[in-house]
Amino acid sequence: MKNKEMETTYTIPVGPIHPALKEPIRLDLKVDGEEIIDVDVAMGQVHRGIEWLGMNRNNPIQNIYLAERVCGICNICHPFAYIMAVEQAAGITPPERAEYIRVVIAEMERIHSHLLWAGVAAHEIGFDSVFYLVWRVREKIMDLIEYVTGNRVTKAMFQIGGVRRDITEEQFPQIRKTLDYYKTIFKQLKTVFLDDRTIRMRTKNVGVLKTEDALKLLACGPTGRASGVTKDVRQDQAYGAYADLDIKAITPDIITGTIVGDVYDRIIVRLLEVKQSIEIIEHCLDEMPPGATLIEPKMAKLLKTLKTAEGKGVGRAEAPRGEVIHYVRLEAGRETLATWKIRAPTYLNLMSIPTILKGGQIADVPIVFASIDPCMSCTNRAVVIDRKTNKKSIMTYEKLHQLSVEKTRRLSNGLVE
Amino acid sequence: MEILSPEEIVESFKAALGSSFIDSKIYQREVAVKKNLFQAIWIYVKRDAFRQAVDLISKLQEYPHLSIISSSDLGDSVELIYHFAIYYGHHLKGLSLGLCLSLPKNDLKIPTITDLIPGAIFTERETQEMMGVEVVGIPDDRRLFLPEDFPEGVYPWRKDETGPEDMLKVLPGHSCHSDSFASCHSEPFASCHSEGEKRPKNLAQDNPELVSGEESHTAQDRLREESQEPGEKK
Repeated sequence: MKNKEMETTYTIPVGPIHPALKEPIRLDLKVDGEEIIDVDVAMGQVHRGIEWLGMNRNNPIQNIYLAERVCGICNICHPFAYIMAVEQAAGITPPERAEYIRVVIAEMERIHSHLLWAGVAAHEIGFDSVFYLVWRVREKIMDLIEYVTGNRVTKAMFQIGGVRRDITEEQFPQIRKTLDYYKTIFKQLKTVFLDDRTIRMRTKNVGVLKTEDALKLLACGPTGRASGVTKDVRQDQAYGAYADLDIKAITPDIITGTIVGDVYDRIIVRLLEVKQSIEIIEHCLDEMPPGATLIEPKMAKLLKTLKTAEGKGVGRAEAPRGEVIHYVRLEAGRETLATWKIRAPTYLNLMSIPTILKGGQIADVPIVFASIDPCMSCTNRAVVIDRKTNKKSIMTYEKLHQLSVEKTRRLSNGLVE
Repeated sequence: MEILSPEEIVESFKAALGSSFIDSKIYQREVAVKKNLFQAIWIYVKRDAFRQAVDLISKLQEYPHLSIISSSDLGDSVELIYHFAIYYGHHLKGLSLGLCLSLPKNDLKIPTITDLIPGAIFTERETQEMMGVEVVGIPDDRRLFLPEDFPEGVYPWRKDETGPEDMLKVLPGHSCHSDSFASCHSEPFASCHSEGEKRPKNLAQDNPELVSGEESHTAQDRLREESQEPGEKK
């Protein structure tokens, strides 16, 4: 009992809002001094009932644009998975050219998302010069996305039975030019992220997720692959133009020879995936088949087909963060979807958060939490509750960020000595 | 590990589950130029064989990937589909496997599978709060997405009387009774009370001011006035 009284365990709720990340989440950290003992995740602050709208208000075509708005960054993979589910349910086969265009856009999204993440990760450890560098570099791919689709963010490219815009031969040189640019700077990016002493210090053996835990907790995407789970929907299942390619899931042992499953490994996976995406786009441009891009350009006719269709379909797509799955059930005579279930990759990856944060330090929370690339925002404000006095004190995001930056400084100074 | 074809998987399920195996469907589609196959299987089983079926899936691949549980309100019953991904890690050999179960509305219970697949916890919690299916033996039965003050006995994915119908704000295409229009706008939960018997107990405990307090009346009155004289609204 005496020990109990001496025990000073604090509960630190972190969240729910921080503008740098995308959606709110709250982490309840139980800490003893600097060490994290237990973590609980509370979600739901931005549950917008999108599935309900799809089942009660919108028709299946309107849902494409709603699906795009599930996530600002993954606004390709959500409609991608959604239209595949509807096509399966209604028995529609898209033209071959459309399958290639879908993949080109999806890979452009992956490049921009991984670069965005790399910038955020650098910022989280207080390495802002890298943050500026990476986000400047990212602008090139954003310009390319705008050039090809007309929009920087919500691209509105997808349609049930094809795509809404073609990528023409005249656009190919510009796309290749941008890809060549990334190839020339890839080596520099690799040096910055993999050889830099500061980044190595803050990310090696931090936030470790072992292979077995990753398998049990269903970790997907780069988070899972960094832990050695060779799961990549592009490799596993035939969809889009990926079915024609020989894609291999990227694991960190390609570079280091071993799989640790730490933050550093997650950086390796994302970095190599940028290169992989460049290769996929180039291959798609080389092999793009001619023909139509849309099987049914008349929307009224398409809607009628969908209204009379009956069946169920499941669409899986590999988003930058992992597997996205949409399940759709159509009932004949119904204007809206009968059932729509969306699952984004962060839903699964959040289950790994307690495991990877446990035993770490508060100062590591920003980088470790960011390392799964959560599509959620956090760490804006944290309330520290002293269990003895029940006194609350506010820990802001800035304070948490400060702790992280100070740790980087401390480690760097230690090295200099 | 031996990789079975969809037909072989269905046969093995049929043999192992016997009369608890109801039906199966195999979906195949040729994709892109090389015409490689996208494959999905749907297997319908009875509830008593559910855990045995999950065991069988675990034998196809150790650590099968459970993507999500989807649930549909079919009127008299609720359909649950456990969406698995198996044979991941093998180029183009992956399969979507949907394990489908039908539960009668008066007995919405399903055993947990978190002991077999620990990562099933989030989706089981979500199914429980959104569809009102009791997951028997779930290690953590808290809500996942719904807020703590959300009324008990309302399930957003249901299409029957336990659905969220009278908590909705007026949306295009949604018909709201004219006399409850103001209450629809003033407080999301206030209109529940006007329906009477459904959830007054819980509401009264948690939010007494919403149910019978003067505040909700004044708010309603104010809204009525505003809707009558829109020109004076500031």
